[in-house]
Amino acid sequence: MAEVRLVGLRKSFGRTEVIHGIDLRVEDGEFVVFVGPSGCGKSTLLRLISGLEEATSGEIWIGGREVSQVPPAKRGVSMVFQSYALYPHMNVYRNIAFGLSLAGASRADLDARVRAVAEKLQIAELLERRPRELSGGQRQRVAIARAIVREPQVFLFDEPLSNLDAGLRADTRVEIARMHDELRATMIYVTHDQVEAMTLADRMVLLNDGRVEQVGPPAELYRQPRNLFVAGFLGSPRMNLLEVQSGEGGLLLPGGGSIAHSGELPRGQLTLGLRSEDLHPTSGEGVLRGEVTLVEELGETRLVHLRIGDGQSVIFRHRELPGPRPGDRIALDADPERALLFDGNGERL
Amino acid sequence: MMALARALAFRLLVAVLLVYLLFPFYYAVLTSMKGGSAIFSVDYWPRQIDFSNYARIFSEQPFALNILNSVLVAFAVVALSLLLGLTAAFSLGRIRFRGRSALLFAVLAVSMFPQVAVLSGMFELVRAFGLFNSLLSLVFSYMIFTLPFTIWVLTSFMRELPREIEEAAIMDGAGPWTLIVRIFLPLLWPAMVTTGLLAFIVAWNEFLFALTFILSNEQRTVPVAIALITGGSEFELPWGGIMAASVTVTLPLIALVLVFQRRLVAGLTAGAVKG
Amino acid sequence: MAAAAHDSLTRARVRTAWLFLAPMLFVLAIVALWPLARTLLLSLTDASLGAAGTARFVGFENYLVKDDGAWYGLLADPLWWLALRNTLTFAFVSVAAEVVLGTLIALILNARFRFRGLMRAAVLVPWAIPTVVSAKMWAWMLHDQFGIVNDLLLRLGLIGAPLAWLADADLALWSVIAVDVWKTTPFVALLVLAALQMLPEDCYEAARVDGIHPAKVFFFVTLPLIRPALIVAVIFRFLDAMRVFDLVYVMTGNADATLTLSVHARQMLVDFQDAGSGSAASVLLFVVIALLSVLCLLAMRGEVLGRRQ
Ligand SMILES: Nc1ncnc2c1ncn2[C@@H]1O[C@H](COP(=O)(O)OP(=O)(O)O)[C@@H](O)[C@H]1O
Ligand SMILES: [Mg+2]
Repeated sequence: MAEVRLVGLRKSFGRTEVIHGIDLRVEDGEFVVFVGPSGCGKSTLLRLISGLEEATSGEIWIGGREVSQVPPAKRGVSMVFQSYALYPHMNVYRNIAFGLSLAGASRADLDARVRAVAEKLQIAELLERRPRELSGGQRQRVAIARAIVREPQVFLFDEPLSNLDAGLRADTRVEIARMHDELRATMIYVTHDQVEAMTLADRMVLLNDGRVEQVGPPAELYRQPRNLFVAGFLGSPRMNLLEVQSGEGGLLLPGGGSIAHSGELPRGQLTLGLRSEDLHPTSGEGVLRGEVTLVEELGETRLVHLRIGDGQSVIFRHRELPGPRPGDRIALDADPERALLFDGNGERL
Repeated sequence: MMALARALAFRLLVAVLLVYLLFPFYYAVLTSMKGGSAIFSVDYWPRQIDFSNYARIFSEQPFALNILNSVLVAFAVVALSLLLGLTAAFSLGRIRFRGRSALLFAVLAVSMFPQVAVLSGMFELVRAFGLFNSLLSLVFSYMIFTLPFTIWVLTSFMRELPREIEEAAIMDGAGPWTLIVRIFLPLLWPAMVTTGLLAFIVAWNEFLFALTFILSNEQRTVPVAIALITGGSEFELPWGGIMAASVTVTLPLIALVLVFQRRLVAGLTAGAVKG
Repeated sequence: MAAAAHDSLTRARVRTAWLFLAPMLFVLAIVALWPLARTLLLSLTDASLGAAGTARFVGFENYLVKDDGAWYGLLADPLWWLALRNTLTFAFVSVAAEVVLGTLIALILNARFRFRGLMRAAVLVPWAIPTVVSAKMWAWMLHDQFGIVNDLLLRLGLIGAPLAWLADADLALWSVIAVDVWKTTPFVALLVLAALQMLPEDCYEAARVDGIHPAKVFFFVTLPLIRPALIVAVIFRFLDAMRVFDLVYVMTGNADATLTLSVHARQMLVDFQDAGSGSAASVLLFVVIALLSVLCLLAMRGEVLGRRQ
C-alpha cells in the first residue's frame, strides 16, 4: 500500500498547458475522487500518475518513490478504463492473467490468483468467454478483476461507470466502495458525476481548467465551498446565488427582505449562496417573497421555482403536502448559519 | 412494355459483359485441351478433352520446378513483407514522432517508382551479393513492390485500433514487441490476410525482375517460364502448351481470389482510397 | 534531478519507433534508394552491363550531346520520342477507356439483380489472371492465322480478310491497349463501386420521387459525388500505365509500333548491354513519372481546395 504525492505537476500538449502545477497528497488507503467539468484535465492527471502520459515538469511520488521516469507497469499502479479495454481476442481468463504472465508468475501461482479474483468478483463461470460474449456489467467486472489481480499499491479508475446504464451504475458503485473497504488500497477515481464522487470519496479533488479548486471531504466541499465555482459545481439543483447589497448590520436581499449579519463585511455588492434545502416556507414575513412559476415533483419532495423580483429567482425544496401551485405567493425563511457569502472575485468570505 | 424492354436490355448488357470478362479464360481452357492438329481450327465449344498438353509441359520442361520456385518466392515475400510491414506499421500507426508523415509519403513515393528505374542498380546489387540466378534475388527485389502497400494498409488499420487496449497492455507490462505480437497481430489478422494475399499475387505475377535476374530454366518462376515456352519445332504451334501452363497457374489464383473476395476488395480499396 | 530528464519515457517510445522502423527502412534503402542512385550514376557513364568497372564518366552524353554539329543522345533519338508518344497514347487511351467501362460495370454491380454475385466474381477474374498469362491468352486469340477474333469478325462479315493484330504497325498499339483495358477495368470498377456504396441513399430517393431521368441523376447527382474516387482511380492507373512493361513485352516484344519507355529502357540495358544509355533511359522515365506525379498531386490539391470553398 502506498501514498501518492504530486509536486508542482505540469503537463503541456505542444504549446498548450492543460495541467497548471498541481500539488496533492493522497494518503495510504484513501479513496480520492477527481471531479470537474469535462475537459478540465482529470483524465490527463490520472494518466500522468499511471505513466501513460509524461509530465512536462514536477514530481510524482508513489509509496515514497519518485516515479515520473518509471515505466507504467513498474509504478505499482493499475488502471480501469472507461471503455474497459479488454483484449477482444483473449478469453476472460487470459485477459486477467495477461499481466501476471508477462511478469513471469508461475503457472500454479497465476492460476490460483486468477481464480481467486474471479471468485471474488463473481465471474468464475465466465472465464472461458470472450469479451464480446459478456454484458456491459460483466465486462466491467473483468476489467476490475484484471486491475486487482496484479495487487497494485494504487488503483486508478477513469470514469469506469459511465458506459453502464443507471441501475447497474448504482450497484457497481456500491461494489467499488465495498472493494475499497476490503482491499484497503489507495484508490484514485475520476468522474464528472458528482453523485458518484460524493458517495465514493473519502476526499474529493475538484478540478477546473487544469487547477485544483478545492480538496476535502465531500461534505466539506458541499457545505464550505471555497469559491463560487465549487459552490456552483456541487449540488443539484444548483445553489441559489443572489445579488445582494451589504449595508449597516446586514444584507439587503432582492424583493426588500434582509438578513442580519454580525461579522465585518465589505460594503457594496456581494453574492449570497443558499441551497434549496436551506430555504423554508414560512407563514410570516420571511426574507424572500415571490410567485411560484414552476413545481418539479420528485415524489418525496418537490422543487419549487420562485420569482422574487429584480429578474432573479430561487429554487427551494418543499417537503410537506400539499405542494404549492404555480401562481401561489410564498414567503421563505433562510437558515442564516447555512448562508454563504462571496465577494466580487467569487471567493467566499 | 417500356419496363420489359428496359429489363431485357439490362440483362443483355450483363450477358455481354459476362462474356467479355470470362470468355478469354474459357478460351484458354478450351485451347489447352486441344491435341494434335485441332489447334489449327477455331472452335467456340469444346470438341475434345485431351490432357496431353498438360502432360507435356510437366514432362518436356521443368514446369513443376517453376511452380515450386514461384511458390517458394511468393511465400518468402509474403512472410518478409508482413514482418517488416507490421513492425513499421506499429511505429507509423501508434507512435507520434517527428517525420512520421514525411516517412509515409516517402514510402508511397517508392510505390510510384518505375521498375526499370531501379533495374540496372538492382542488377549490380544482385551480382554483388552473389544472388544472380538465385531465387533469393527475387525475394529481395520484390520488396520494392510489396513493402509500400503493406505498410500503408497495415498502418491505416493499425491506427483504427482503440488506444485504450494498447494502454491496458502497457499497464500490464507489455513491451513493444509483446504489444505487436500478442495484441496487435491477433487484432490485425484480417488486414494481414488481405495484404498477404495481395503480396502473394504480386510476387506470383512479377515478370521483369524474374526475366532479368534468373538465367536457368530450373530457377525460373512461372510467368517467365510461360513467356518463354516455344514449340518443339519451327512448325509446331506452342499454344496448346502455353495455354495448359497458363490455366495451371491461374486456376489456383482465381480460386484464391474468389474465396477471399470480400477481404481483397476491402484491402484494394482501402489502399487506394486512403492513399 | 527530475528536471534534467523529464521526457525519458517519451524518448524511449520514439526510440522504439525508429528501432522498429529500421529493418523496413534498411530494406527499402537497399531495394529502392540505392539502386535508383546507382542508376542515376550509371546514366552518367558509358558502363556496359557485362563489364562493370571499366566505366568512364561521360557527363550528360547519354542524354544529349552536340558533336560535330549534330545532336546525339537519347533526347535526340527519334526512337525515344516514339516510345514517349506510344507510352502517353497507351496511358491516356487505356485509362480513359477503363474509367468509362469501369464506371459502367460499377453501376451495374451496384444495382440489384439476380446474377449480381456471379457478375461480382466474374469481374475479379481478369484482375486475378497474371499479366503474362493475359498477354499470352490474348496474343493467341488475336493470332493472325488461327485466332478466334479474326474468325469471329470474318463470320460476322465485319472484316474481309484476317488482320495481323499484333504485327501490323497500325493495329498493334490498339490491340495492346484493348488487352490492358480488359485486364485492368475490374480494378477501376471495384474502386468506383466502393465509392458508389458509400453514397447516401436519400439523394436517390428524392430524385426518384421527383421523377428525374436516370441519366440526369447519374450526371448531376452520382458523378459529382464519386468524383473524388474517380480522380484517385485515374491518377493511380495513369501513373501505373506510364510504366507498362510486361503486357507489351510479352505480346509484341521490342517492336517499334508498341515500344514503350519501359520496354525501350530494358532493351538498351539488357539486350544491348548498354548500362549507360539504358540507365539514362530509365532515369528519363523516372523523371517523366515524377513530373506527372507532381502534376497529379497539384491537381488533386486544387480539387480538394476547390471543394472546400
Ligand atoms: N493527447 C492530447 N493532445 C492534445 N490535447 C489533449 C490530449 N489529451 C487531452 N488533451 C486536452 O487536455 C485537456 C484535458 O483533457 P482531459 O484530461 O481528457 O479532460 P477530462 O478527462 O477532464 O474530460 C482537454 O482540453 C483536452 O483537449
Ligand atoms: Mg476524461
